[in-house]
Amino acid sequence: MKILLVEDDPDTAAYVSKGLSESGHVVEVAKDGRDGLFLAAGESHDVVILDRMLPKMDGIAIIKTLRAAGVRTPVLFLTTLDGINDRVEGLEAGGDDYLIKPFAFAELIARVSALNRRPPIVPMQTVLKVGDLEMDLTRRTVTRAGRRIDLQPREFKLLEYLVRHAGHVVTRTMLLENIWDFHFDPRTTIVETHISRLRGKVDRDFGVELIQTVRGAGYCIRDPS
Amino acid sequence: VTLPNFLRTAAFKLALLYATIFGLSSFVLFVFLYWSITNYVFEQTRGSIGLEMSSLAEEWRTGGEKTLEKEVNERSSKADSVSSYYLLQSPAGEHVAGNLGTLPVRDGSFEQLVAPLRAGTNQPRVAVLFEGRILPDGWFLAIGRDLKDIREAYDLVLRAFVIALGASVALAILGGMLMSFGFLKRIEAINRTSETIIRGDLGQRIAVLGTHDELDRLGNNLNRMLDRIQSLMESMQQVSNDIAHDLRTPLARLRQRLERVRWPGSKLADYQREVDSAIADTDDILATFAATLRIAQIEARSRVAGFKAVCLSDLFTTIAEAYAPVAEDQGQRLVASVAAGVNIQGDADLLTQMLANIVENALRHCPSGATIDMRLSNGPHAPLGVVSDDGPGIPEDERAKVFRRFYRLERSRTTPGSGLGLSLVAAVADIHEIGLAVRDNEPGARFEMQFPLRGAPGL
Repeated sequence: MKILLVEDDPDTAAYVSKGLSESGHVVEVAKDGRDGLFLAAGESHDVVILDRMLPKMDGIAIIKTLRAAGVRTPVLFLTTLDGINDRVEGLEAGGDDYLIKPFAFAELIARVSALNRRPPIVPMQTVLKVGDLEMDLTRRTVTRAGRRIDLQPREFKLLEYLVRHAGHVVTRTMLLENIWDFHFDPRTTIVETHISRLRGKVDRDFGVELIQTVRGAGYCIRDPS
Repeated sequence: VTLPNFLRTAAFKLALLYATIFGLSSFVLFVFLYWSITNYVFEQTRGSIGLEMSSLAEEWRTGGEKTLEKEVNERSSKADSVSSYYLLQSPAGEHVAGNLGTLPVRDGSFEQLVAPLRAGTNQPRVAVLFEGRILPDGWFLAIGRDLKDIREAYDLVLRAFVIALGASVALAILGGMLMSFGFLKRIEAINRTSETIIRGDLGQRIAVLGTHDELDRLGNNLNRMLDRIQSLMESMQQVSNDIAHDLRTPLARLRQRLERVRWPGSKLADYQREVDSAIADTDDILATFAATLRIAQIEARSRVAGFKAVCLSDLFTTIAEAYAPVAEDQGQRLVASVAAGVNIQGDADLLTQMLANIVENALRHCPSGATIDMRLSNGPHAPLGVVSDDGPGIPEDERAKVFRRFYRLERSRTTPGSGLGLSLVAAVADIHEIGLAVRDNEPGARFEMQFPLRGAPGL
């Protein structure tokens, strides 16, 4: 995947681009806002990673300009600005995701992958499949190997999110934000507990585990075969 | 205060303005009065001349020229004291009687400078108002009044008015100054207090007289602003102290760990384990740091402006659903009874975190087997939220302290937690004007949230 990283701090830029390269991505780095805007406007990248505070032009101005010009490349804000209004401001300006420095690298990789897979226009798929697991989104039913599984609404939402990102890692924070709308770090094991319940229903009686734990990163649903 | 400075003060300018307006209005009044008075005096004089003329004309009609001549001479001899002038001329234009030389013959009212005949000598010329009448057989009769008295009366009136005007303008300036000084003295007091505050004494407050006028309101508002600034500064101070105090310990621990791993002879597995621990330590430090800043930001109220309607019922249900399995895994029970359709104005993210922190606090401090009860009711006046448990509870003298930053009960020192969870709760409650109370649940702890009436906060 081709990623544009707009970051003025050379240490962070080197760290992020090395990490992304090692995960198999091609990274282009812009050192200030103007170069960043120029490169992003070319629309040749799959994802743009954007700092908020940049020399010459700040991140919010860049994204507003891009969106106004009709550039739809997914943008992830990567920033030290963690004020309670900053995230909302970044997303309202047209950002697709917001990650606060410092971050775990696994979190960045997972979010970048999730952004890239986000199709420009969401196709109205009503049945999602992973291996022998099937989710019917209109009827709100789940079956595995033809057997009906009863899920509570929140469990359904959790499974749907995993399945929509099938084959990719989703992190604990991504789940907290998207399933519970929690924009803070709870001190308890909410995600772990709910995933374990979901596993009890979806995986336990079927031999093959679809929901896998990715150590130090998060969870991933995939067909191991 | 030097003179040029004095001329620049608002007190002087205001006084001058008062005086100008007052002087102008007095002047207009004076012009009108002067005109009325002089006009009245003049008309009176003309009226009295007219009356005399009528009576002399009557003499002539009944007695002819001789009677008239006698009458004119008689009146002329008495006229010295009243400054009256008489003249009777024959049709040939010769002086027949009276205390004047000849005059041009004309009918009606006119003014003329004349030299009166007195004791046969020529007197200095004086301005006289005349009325002349040409009698039917060509005789000419004129009666006049010296204008000197009228002019003197005019001067008198004028002088009186000038003095009165001067006095009133002086009074206006003086009164204006007194008034302005009284008023501006209070503003000056505000200025002096402000300067003291600027120099660093934030404890100073502006004196309020209790008169409930604009200046009192200004003073009150300034004082409230100062209170706010002071509490913000104290809060900043508090944050710095907290950071210095509570981040130093974990940072020191991290440093020790890094130093230890640097010692020679460690195996790769040891390195990795120690680095993992160091990362975990760093994450804890960052979390504490973030929480501290977040509380400070919440206390700065930057979010109040963005308050929207938040459904408390949904919020309670979401939290209950999210945490019930967590409780169950710890051998506890979380039950909820939530009234439907309860809304307040607020920030959904912050309210969620507030409630989550209270519930997590209960989950963390209650032993296995405890029951945690979440309730949301509509209350008699406003919504009431309660999170209660039957765990160990909080000693009475500690209840108020649990909302302090980094405060932890003695027995909780060993459980994980930053001691910031409930401070954040207090901060969120404060900006939402939620009445927060900790009570004894007999047994256990009971957190009560008395929500404001819909729409109350932030307005």
